[in-house]
This record gives sequence, structure tokens and C-alpha cells, in this order.
Amino acid sequence: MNGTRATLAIVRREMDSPWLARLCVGLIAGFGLGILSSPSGAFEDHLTAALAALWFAVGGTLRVDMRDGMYFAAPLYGRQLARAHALVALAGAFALPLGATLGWALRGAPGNELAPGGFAVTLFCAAALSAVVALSATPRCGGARAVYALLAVGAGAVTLIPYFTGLRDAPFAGLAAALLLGFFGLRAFGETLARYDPIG
Amino acid sequence: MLRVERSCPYAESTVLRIVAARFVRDGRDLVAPFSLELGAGQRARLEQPSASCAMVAARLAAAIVKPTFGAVTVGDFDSRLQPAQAKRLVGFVPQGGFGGSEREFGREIGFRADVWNVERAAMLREAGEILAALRRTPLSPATDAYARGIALALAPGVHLAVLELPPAGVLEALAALRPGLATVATAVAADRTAPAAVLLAGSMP
Repeated sequence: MNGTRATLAIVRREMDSPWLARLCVGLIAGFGLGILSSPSGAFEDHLTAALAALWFAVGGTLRVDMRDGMYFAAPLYGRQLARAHALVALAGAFALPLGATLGWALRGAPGNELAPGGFAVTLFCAAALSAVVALSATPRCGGARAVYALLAVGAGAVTLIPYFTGLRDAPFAGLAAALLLGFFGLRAFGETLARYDPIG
Repeated sequence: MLRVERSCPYAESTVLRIVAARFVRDGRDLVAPFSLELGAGQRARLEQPSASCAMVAARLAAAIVKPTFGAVTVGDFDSRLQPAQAKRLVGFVPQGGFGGSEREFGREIGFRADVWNVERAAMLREAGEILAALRRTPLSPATDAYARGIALALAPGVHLAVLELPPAGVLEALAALRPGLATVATAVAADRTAPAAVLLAGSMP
């Protein structure tokens, strides 16, 4: 089996017109938040951008229909499916932070966000981790789905803590947290899919 | 890349072996234990007490869901241990077939060619031939979506077809079209005491 060919096929299938429309909405919303924020890098502006990015990442990922029976009838491993969906979720989740970054760059005085210790890296990490953790909610329904969605928001919030508490090297702490938790989140999602029985 | 092959390496052996397979959910038997052995060209009907049980039984036979107890082997592959290899040999047709437009049908063939890692042009040709042959049979026009589902399922060159609650006449049409293909179809039993697996053509082990 050619894993890369299958992965790219799934990615293309998931990146359909509604997905692209959501991507554009995320870019525009992020750009608006970035360009309208205070050049001094106010706490409220960054908090608003962070909450919007988490909401957008989790909301976008929850739209994935993992119960599409086709995926489970195909000769795919759970980890292949998980990787492909993670790529789509990450690409979708990066829309709002990317738009915000463009907004900050065009607004002027972008040092608070785009400097090496700025907020942009933290925002990307938080959105990415939330999206990856939220994937585990997609094959579930009811209370379990809601719990995983909250967990995803919480995981994203963990990467924001170093920045908002004024920790030195906060972006690197956020990146480390996102990589570590993201690895376990993706692994858990792959195992969930491997065990999943799609019976409606 | 693999080629779409019509020859069956399992012609002399068992394509599907189900041994005391049972599916339990929330402490309730959705599929009661049943056994079945199917070689190339053999056809069986899995009769279940309800449509939801028939849905699970079809997915059990297609290696999509794993049995809670017992074993399902497709070719040489156990559905629990080597699900991807097992599913590669199975063409699964869901109850509604494929309800999308012609354009979506073409896209779906491309997607399946990528996932099954077969030549896209060969798969497109194969699906077209199957669909044209099925449309020549005296099936009702209402079964066209199901025929398209069959074309999609068989085009990668599978050795076992699993049909979920097929419309009347489809099983016979498929047997005429692909006599060497092992086929399992699910049905809702009129008589709840009926056996779970009924072999229609071939011999029961």
C-alpha cells in the first residue's frame, strides 16, 4: 500500500468547497483582529485573538465527519487516517493565526507579535494543539464529544499560559507543550480510529 | 502501483472464513454467533432479525467492524490483526449504493484508485464496464444508485463482494456478471428462527 498517495487522497477529499470557505473566513477574521488590535500589544487584544483562534480551530475540526463509512471500508490503517485528518485540521486551524499575523504585519509596530519572543508563535501553537486534540471528538457523539471538545480548548489554553503569565521564552515553552501534547493527542486519535466500529 | 486484476489467487481456497463471529454492543447481541466459509464463486445470504443487525453483519463480513468474539478472515488476513490487508480484498456496497452525481462518481473512482493504489485509468475503465453491464440487466431504474455502488466497490479488483441489503435481482445480476466472485448479501429474515447464514451457491463446509 502506498501511504503517501492514500494520505494525499484523503486530504484532497476533506479540503472541499465548504472547508475552503471556512479557511477564507478564518483568514479574514484573523486579519481583522490583527489590523484592529492596539500597536502596543494590549493583553485584551491578544486574549481575544487567542480565544477566537481556539474557537475557530475546535469548531472547524468538529465539522469533520469521521463517521463517513467510506474511510473504514478502505484498506487504511487508523494511523494513516489520523495523519491525513490531522493535516487537514492543522491547515484549517492555521487560517485565523495566519490572518492575524498578516494584520499585525500591516498594522505597523509588529514587534509585540512577530518578534522571536512575540505572541504569534504562541497563537499558532495553541490553534494547532486544539485542532489535533479536537480530532478525537469527531468519531464520538453526545457527552463524550463535548468532553473532548472542552479538552481541546483546555489543551490549547495550556500553551497560552506561559505567554499570558509573562514567562521568559514563552513561545518556546508553548511550542514544547504543543509538540508533546500534540504527539499524544494524534496517537490517541489514531488508536481510536483503529478500534472504531462504524455501526452508526 | 498495483494493476486491476480479474484473476483470483483464492480460486482454490477460502476467500471468507467466519468462525463463531458475534458482535455485542452494550451487553446485547447485535449479531448472534454464526459461521460461514466461502470460496471463489460462492454466494451466501446473511439473514438477520432487523435492518440494523443486517448492517452490522455486513460490516463484520467486510472486515469493517471487528467481531467481539470469534474470528473473520478474508483471504489469509484476520480482520482484527490485519484489517487493512483484509479490506483490500473486499468490495463493500452500503445499503444506499452511491447516490452522488456522475461527476462525484468520477471523483470517487479517483479517490478509491489512490487509496487502493491502483491505476486510475484502469479503475475508471473497469468501473465503467461493470456499470454498463449492470445497466444492461433487467434491474429496475431505482437500483441505479446501488449499481453504481457495486461498480465502485468492485473496480479495484476485489475478491469478495459484500452487499448490504441489496434490492431484488441485484445478487443474481452480479452472479451473472462476475461468476468467480465470492459474494455475501445481507437480508432481513422474515422468519426470526431462520439460520444466520444461508449458502446460495457452492457448498457449505
